[in-house]
Amino acid sequence: MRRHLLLLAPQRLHTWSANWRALAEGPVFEADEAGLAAFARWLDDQGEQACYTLATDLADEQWAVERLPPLRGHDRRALIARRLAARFGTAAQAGSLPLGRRREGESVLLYAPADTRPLDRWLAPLTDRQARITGVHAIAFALDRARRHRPPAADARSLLVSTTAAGLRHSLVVDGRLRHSRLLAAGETDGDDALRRTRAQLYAQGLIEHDDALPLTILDRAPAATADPVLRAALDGRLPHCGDEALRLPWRIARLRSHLTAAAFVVATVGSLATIGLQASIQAAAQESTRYLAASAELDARRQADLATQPPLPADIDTMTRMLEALAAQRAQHADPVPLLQALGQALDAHPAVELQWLAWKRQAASASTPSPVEALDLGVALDAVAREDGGSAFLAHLGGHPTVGAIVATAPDRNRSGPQPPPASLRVSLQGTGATEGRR
Amino acid sequence: MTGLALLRRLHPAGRLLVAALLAATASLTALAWSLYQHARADAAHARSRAEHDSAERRLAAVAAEATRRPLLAASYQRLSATGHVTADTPALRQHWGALIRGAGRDAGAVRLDFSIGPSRPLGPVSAGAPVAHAHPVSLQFGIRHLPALLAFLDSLADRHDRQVVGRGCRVERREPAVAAGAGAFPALWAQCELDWLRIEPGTGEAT
Repeated sequence: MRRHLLLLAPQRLHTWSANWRALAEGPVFEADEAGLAAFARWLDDQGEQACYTLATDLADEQWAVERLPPLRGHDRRALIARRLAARFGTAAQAGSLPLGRRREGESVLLYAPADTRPLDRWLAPLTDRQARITGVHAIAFALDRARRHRPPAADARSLLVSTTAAGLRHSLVVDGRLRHSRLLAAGETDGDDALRRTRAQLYAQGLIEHDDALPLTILDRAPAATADPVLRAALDGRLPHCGDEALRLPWRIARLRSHLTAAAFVVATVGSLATIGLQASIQAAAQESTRYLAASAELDARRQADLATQPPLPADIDTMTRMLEALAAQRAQHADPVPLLQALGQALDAHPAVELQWLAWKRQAASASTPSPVEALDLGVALDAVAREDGGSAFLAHLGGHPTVGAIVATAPDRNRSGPQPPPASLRVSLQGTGATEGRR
Repeated sequence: MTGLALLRRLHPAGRLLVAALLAATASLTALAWSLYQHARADAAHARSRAEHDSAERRLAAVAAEATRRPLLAASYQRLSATGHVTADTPALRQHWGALIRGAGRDAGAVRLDFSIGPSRPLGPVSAGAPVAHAHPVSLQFGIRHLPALLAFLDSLADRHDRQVVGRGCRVERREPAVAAGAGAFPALWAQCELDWLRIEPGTGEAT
């Protein structure tokens, strides 16, 4: 869409067309009926896609500095509108320029043209066509913005003299920020006289003292409109809008639609690219899955071929291994204490004075996980008169000498704990095997 | 009014916006569908890879079993040949009873009494696979002397390829009068606990 900068001077309307960064000067329309009609025709030629930025460079402007409490958003805008109405009687085509924000509040420069009729006259053809107006800006605000990019002047107050298409303009700059501005009237050709008038206005408004030195700063007009910092600042759209927000509604709607369209196309493009990438990934995964499945089938075929060459088992090899190991563990537990019994039999044969009364051995219940072969044999023997003479020690010594007997514990259950004791009539004996030879088989 | 007619009435910029929104919607729909397909393809890929890994492990297991399997098969066949692999039937219990009585008779045991209890598995039971079982057997008998007792127990174990495993015995000498009251000579009376081992044959196919 094409953008146009319209500079509204007291006597005429200057136009420029923006093409990327270049500004091409367009027609100039005089502020009479013929000029207005020509402007309407020119607007018709631009088409409904064109955007317009208006800069007002009018004489008889009103300025005031106001301090605002720290507010933001809608509250701040409402307060500024009230202050504009209180100061200038109307907020129409008025605007404000923020001068600086501090903790206790902010300072704003309020602006309003003394006479809104010239602007209304030029705005009418635009609003009739619902033209896309990006904003209406006071050219003095553009001066402030253009100056901000320059190094600050050493003096706190200075008078900026600038030239625009409308003529010569005097602007008071305090601490680098705009405080007041006036476009010289068409008849003010004498420079000294114009300066005196400007000083008188500033003094009357209390902006300077009578004897304040007011150094001049000259801001020359660029020979080409493209390089003109004031025009560029007016065009860049970051200046405060002076006027009703409804003027900008068609442009806002168009911009929103344009952004939505762009965002939707970006989403569509990104989504399409992601879809293409995902589909490629899906294809690759599917091919790899197919390869894996084919390889699995081949491996299974090889496994079946290998199995065919091996003897069959009634279950898988791990189950069979576990089952046979459990069985082997049980069979290994067949640990009747035969060596101990044989040793006992030999000892009893060698010592007929000792008679076996009872005998017991036991292993724990069969369990595949905890095999527990018999390691002990308990027995009770009776001692006759001959055996009592040595308390059965010869019998016990015979038992202990057998290689399969590891330990012997013998007690006499018929003995009391204290006092003189007769020889024992019986013994209770516990035999411990040596382990290695207990399991005979 | 059809959608096309409505579209024609729109401002050109509006048509462009509608086209862009439609394109974005279509693109996002395609993207969502692709994401769904991608998740499914990922899952299928993971499954096929797991199947492949499993097949590799199975093949490696078969290779690793190449030496163990013949040994196991031979061992199982030997057990089968020695009567370990058999179902628990009344005929089997009668056969075991006959074996116990025969061994007792050979060892000179008198007043032999025994009971064969229900079996218990000796490990986890796998469906269709052979499972080792142990039957508890209780024996009560009189015996002449200690060597005869040993001969009885050895006979049960040795004659049946270690199908019988001893768990414990208690032997007591009784007064001759008590023994004589029974009209028998033996002075030693034993009460022994045994495990009779058996493999319940599997029902599954040979692998």
